[in-house]
Amino acid sequence: MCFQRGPAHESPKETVTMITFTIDGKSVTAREQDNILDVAQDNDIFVPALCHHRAVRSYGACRLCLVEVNSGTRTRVVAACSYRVEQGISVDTQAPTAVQARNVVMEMLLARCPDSKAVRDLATKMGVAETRFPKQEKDCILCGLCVQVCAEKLGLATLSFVGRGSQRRVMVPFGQQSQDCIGCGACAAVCPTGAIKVHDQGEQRTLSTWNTNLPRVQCSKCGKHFGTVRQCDSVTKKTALGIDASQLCPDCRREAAAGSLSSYFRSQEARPDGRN
Amino acid sequence: MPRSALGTPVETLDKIRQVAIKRRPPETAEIRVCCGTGCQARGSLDVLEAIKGEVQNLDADGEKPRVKKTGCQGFCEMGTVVLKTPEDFFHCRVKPEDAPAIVHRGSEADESVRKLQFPDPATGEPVNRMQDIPFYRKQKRLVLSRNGSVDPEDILDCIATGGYHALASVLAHTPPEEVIATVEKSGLRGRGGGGFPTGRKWRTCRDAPGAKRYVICNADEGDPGAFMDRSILEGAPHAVLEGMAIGAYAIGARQGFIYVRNEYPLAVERVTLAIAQAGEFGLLGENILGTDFSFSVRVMRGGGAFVCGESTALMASLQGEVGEPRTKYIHTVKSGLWDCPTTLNNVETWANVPIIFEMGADKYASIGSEGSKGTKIFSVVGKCKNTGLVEVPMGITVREIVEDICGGVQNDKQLKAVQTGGPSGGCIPASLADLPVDFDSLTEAGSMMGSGGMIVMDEDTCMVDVAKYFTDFLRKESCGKCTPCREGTDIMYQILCRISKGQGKEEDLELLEEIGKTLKVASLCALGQTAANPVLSTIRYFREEYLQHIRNGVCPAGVCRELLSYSIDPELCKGCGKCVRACPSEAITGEKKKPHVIDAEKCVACGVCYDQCAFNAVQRTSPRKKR
Amino acid sequence: MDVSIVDEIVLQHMEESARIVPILQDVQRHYRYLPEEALRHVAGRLRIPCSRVYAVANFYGAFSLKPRGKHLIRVCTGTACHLRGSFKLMDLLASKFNVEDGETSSDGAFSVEAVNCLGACALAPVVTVDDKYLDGVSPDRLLKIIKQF
Repeated sequence: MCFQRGPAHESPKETVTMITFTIDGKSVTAREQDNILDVAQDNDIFVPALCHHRAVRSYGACRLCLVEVNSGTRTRVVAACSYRVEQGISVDTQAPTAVQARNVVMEMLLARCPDSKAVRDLATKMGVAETRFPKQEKDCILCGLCVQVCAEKLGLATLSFVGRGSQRRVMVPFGQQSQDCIGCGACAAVCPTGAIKVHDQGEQRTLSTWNTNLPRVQCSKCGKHFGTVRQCDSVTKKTALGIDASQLCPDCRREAAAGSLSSYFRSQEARPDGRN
Repeated sequence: MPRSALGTPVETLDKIRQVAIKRRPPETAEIRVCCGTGCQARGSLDVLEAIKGEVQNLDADGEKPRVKKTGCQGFCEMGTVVLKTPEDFFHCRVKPEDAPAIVHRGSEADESVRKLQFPDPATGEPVNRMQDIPFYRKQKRLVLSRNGSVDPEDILDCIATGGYHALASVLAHTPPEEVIATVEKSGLRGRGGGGFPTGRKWRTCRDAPGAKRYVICNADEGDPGAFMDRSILEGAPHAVLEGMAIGAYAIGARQGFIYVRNEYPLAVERVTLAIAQAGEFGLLGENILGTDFSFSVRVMRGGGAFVCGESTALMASLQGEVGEPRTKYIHTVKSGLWDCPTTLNNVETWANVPIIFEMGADKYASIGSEGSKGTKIFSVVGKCKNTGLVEVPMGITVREIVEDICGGVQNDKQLKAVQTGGPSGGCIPASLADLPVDFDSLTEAGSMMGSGGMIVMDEDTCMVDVAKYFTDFLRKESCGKCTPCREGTDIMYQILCRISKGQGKEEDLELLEEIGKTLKVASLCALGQTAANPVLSTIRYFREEYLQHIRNGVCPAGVCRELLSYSIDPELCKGCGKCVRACPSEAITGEKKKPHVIDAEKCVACGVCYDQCAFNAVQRTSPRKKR
Repeated sequence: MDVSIVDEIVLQHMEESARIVPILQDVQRHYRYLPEEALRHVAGRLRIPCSRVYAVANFYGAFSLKPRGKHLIRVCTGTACHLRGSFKLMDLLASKFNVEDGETSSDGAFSVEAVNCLGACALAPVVTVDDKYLDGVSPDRLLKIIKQF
């Protein structure tokens, strides 16, 4: 799946104020409600981040994207994902205070999830070789992307953060299969560390992390299993086109659509004046 | 100027006040029984009933004294506290059976009264009047003035003594702009710990765009050892409501919330009752005192989470969500509760507002120090002789509070340090006890004044243990959202545990300092940003003590169990067996009247036997003897 | 399980989802803990996701999702109480009755909670037994109280 690069919020169709400021001495322009991290990425300036995704609202949990902002009246270290751009500020992504802090934060993440490839790769990119802190064996960095995607994009809010402090974890209510989960797997797709497991086998889709087993549908044409029953019901309902989404798998549906289109165009060609 | 049927707002209030005075003539003698949470736990409600009964049986030779309950008078060590007016005779540790002695006493104290009086620490002589007691002498009780004199469950008692007069005057004479200017002139700064200039906060909020705005009273007093806000809400709820009404009027809010922490049921009860009574008299609700200013207040209870004292977490909680903070790059005065401009202030801050308007901004600004105007209430607890609430002008020194007001350290031990600012604060060592207490002076020393909790520590307090205690508190209260606070508090706690067990390394101190620096810069909210303060300030002033633990396995204060050994001196032991019964691990054996022995293998070094022994026969040594 | 009381409580709070915390406090007061069925029912009546109710129930310290004993002992762990030895009370409960923070005695007679500062610091160490405040509690005295249960 690929998510559109764009703002998480809908911009109204009116004039948007443009902001100019500098990042690492480079002059950049942005829209009024943009955050520093997005603008940095758009300008190919590297700022580490793990809990950020354009599809959902900025959450500001991982604290890796720390940068120094000088607004003229004050200088402080902020999380780039949560700080809205302001006219004339100068952002320094290499300020020592910011870099030192984010490196220690990365050490903490390395200690928490030592076997996570995503965390290790980012650590390498940041130049953090190892961690001084006692190792744990977790695979979730509590970035919240799964929770947000399910709530903000799917409108289902199956998942939530449960517990405080080091007890904090992402769960389905009571740890049991939830009525709200449609088994779409968006949570797994957006997870940066691959901590969420989705496994398809024959008629079953298993999301073991959420203790969930859901039946899949079978294509009436080619017999392939695709999607879950709940997922297709949801699509059928949401699109409200009177088409049952569980009948044809995406491939067969494309073929059928291509077929009808071809017939239509052929019927048009038969009439020399193009009229129906 | 809109008028009620009774006239202008001031006239209206005055008419209510006349009724109140008629019902409660000020000349009537009173017997006031403290019914704050502390005294109630010592049975003050029974004392109240006993005194009421005794008064009822009095011969009606003149007017009978009025018996009433009041809010926390602050001298909690001496509870139950009973005051008799007009002489202000002060009685402490009162039990129900003491009722006759108090009711029938004359101006001279007889034997039965003398035992209820507070002994002057210098002469040992019992003190008759409240204002002569050292605990009260140096205080300047402005906010707490009503706590000892007014019945918090009776609004007329409050109005009779001037309650709501400030609000009435403001509504009658003062446009909102001028209200804000007055608060700015007074120099009032937030009493919840942040110390932000209140006038400026109100001004920014007023100027923020948005039709709907809110005021909030933060009564989620979570600092362990702090109970100022609890006492204000229990004892003078109307002062808080009056302050909120003035603030709401100034910024244009119609709705206010009081967010009280779950652990304060009496405060919730009192303030809910106060709101209902204020509504009955047109002092809250629609068209207050006949004006077109309407303002309602709702009480919301917290669910038991320290982080909900943080303003954005509190607002999330009010909205029915988990108490997770958000970044404050956009301030809550512009976008707060339900994304509307919101003014959130602490209980004590709100309670100071009517005082500013009653005495005038200039007079208010003449109290306190250069950058910290007015008084501050402190809850002084721990190892001092007189624990309780004290209200003092800011700029007074730590030493004056601990020694002059609170009588110095218990059992004539040495003062070691004073912890201020709760888990976000730090320790002031005894050597710095002459520092003034205000917003700025303590911050330089690595602590902060905080919300007012002040914990007195003596030579038997281990500073490593103190750091461990606060760090443990914070890691359990951390919401867990951001990496540095969630992981960092846990890591710091583990290091401190190792040090307290004699498994520390020299590098640990540098590592703790580095983690602390990271937390300050990287954390999302103030809980995380200040989480390392207890550790950092104790390392700063008590580094030697840490090194003793690390290098020598010694806990000089005798607190860290893994570094202690307990044994019984056979010369001193009388064989009474008290320690045997007290021991949780059945490690002590011995025959009656013969010297007892502690089995080192079974002993967990909890120290209960040491506490219990009346003959000082139990010996404690550090480092732990090899087993 | 009879959940009609949940309906009543939600109505008393005007079905406002913003009042989820006081609603759950009232539900817990009735059942003495927060049963799963009651929580699911609250979510349904307030028309909010079950995940949100579950998150709130697990976030705040006042809530217990496990049934509690007949009596509730709360040991204050505030600084003043800590300095005056409140941890010795927790030790006693752990060693003599095998009950840690948040747990219930094997015979169901009592549950223990270590709570944050109750604000009665002059009375340290403070313990509440069934919401009644006790002042200056020693391990000995606590033992006597429990023996009476």
